[in-house]
Amino acid sequence: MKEFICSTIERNVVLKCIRDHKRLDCRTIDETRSVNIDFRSHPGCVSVRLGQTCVIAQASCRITKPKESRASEGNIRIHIDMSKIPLMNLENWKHQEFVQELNGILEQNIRHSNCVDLESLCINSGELVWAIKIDITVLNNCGNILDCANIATLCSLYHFRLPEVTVHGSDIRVYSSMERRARPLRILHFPINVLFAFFVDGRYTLIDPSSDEERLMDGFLSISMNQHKEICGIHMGGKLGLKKEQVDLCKKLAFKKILELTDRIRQVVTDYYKNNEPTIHTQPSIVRIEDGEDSSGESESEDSVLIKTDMSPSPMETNVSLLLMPSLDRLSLSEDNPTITATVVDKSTSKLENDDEQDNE
Amino acid sequence: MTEIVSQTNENDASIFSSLHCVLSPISKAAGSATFTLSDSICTCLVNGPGELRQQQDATNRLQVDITFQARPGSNNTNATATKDKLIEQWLETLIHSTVLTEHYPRSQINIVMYEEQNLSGEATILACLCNTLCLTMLDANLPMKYAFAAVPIVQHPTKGLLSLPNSKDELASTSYFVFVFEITLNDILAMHASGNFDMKTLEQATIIAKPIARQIFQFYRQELEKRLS
Repeated sequence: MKEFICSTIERNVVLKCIRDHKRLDCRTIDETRSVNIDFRSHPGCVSVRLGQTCVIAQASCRITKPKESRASEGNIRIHIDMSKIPLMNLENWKHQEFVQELNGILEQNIRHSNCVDLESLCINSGELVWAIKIDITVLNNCGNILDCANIATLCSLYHFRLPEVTVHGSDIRVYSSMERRARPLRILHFPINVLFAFFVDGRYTLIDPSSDEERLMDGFLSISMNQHKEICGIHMGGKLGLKKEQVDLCKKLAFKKILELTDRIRQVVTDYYKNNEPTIHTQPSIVRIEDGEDSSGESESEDSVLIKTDMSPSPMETNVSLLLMPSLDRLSLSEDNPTITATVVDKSTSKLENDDEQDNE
Repeated sequence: MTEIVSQTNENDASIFSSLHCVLSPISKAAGSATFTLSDSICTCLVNGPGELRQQQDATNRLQVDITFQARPGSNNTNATATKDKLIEQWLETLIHSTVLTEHYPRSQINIVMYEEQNLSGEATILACLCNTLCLTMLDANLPMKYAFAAVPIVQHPTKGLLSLPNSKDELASTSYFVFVFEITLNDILAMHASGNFDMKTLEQATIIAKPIARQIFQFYRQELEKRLS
């Protein structure tokens, strides 16, 4: 499916409005659209709306071998999926380029700014670390996907809960959420992104462009800052050159917005966890693979790799974690009583998780 | 065989508390809906009817392209799992029997279904998907022969047959059915079942499911009335 072409009349109207310092949706030039953050019951699952732009983010974790050069650090990966929306700019390759650009900016903002403490993701230095993956799906594109996706990523990271792990010598044990409460990630700061669009050779600036404005802009500037006034990432795109004063002005404007948003994100997540118990990982959010793609054959491939589907096929098992274990003697999972009808009833509010960590041996 | 006790909801109001929907959450799509059934939330959007790609060939009817995106993070790759593909094909047959495809030759519609939350097992999510799909097509004003609604029924080892179960009961159940009814004659349009059961159970499940389907149709009507008033 392709988007509609922007007609000349539309183009002229929008540019005329901008020259008069007006916008089609009656905002001022330094006003952003309202942000709606909605959490789902799964930890790390959030749906964010920036005006009409809608983005869903989901965080998941798995245990892998760390990089050789960074033996005690976990890693974070971000993946944006824009295949559900109509093709932009009418061509598939232009659409893909756009997706890659966004993905790059987002990764730079989140990963290179070290907003998550990667050393806290380490389980066993040099051998096992947590790898967090954030999947972002864009459902509706009404301009400024970058900001929306950024907010969604941060909310998702802050909302996510990592299962508890203990190391006894060479035995590693992962606890289900029934036994030990999952802990949050250590987030050091919130790098929030603000997008500025430029028109007519950089003479006019807008913050948070809507979809019409974004299609017609000459270039954009995306500034990622945190509340301590540190710039975590700055990126210019499109075909345009900017003066130093313009960039300074943008930074000042951005800072104001960022303060509000940081407070908002913190508030929303704390409120959520005040009212709701963290839900149990009934969904397969942990996949432990045989030492990932980046290891040499340290772990034997013929090892008893336990795939859930090999076991008694109850239809309910589809919901249960898929666990592939690297080597049996080193990893064990906490187990519940492996009968189907054993209802491990949790008192008040938490959802039931029954055979979640059933039989992994 | 355990005694089959049907736990229907006592009064009409209680089923409506587990149903919730938002129409047109996605402004750029031709039609979209977000539907909540007990603990499962699904979003669906439909784009079209539009041009066909060159490889596709549908000279005298509408081409339907449906994509189901399960919750990401459960597998290493981003490709669709086989089970999800099965769901896509099942839903596609449902659409072909419902939508008047002869009215749009040489065009295609794209349907994207996205599962946002799934705390129970397969039955509820499947029923949620069907209902979301129907609401989306109603929202998009696609010409359909009838509206349809899906009802999940599970067989609990002690409580017997339950309709619209909550997560606790569903995770403890041994087999489940999902019946899709259509609105005109309340006949079965499609069905999916899994587990051990016999024909008597199946028939009883059908009998339990019919009135629930009628209530779901009432819910659709309410939602659309709200929207058009």
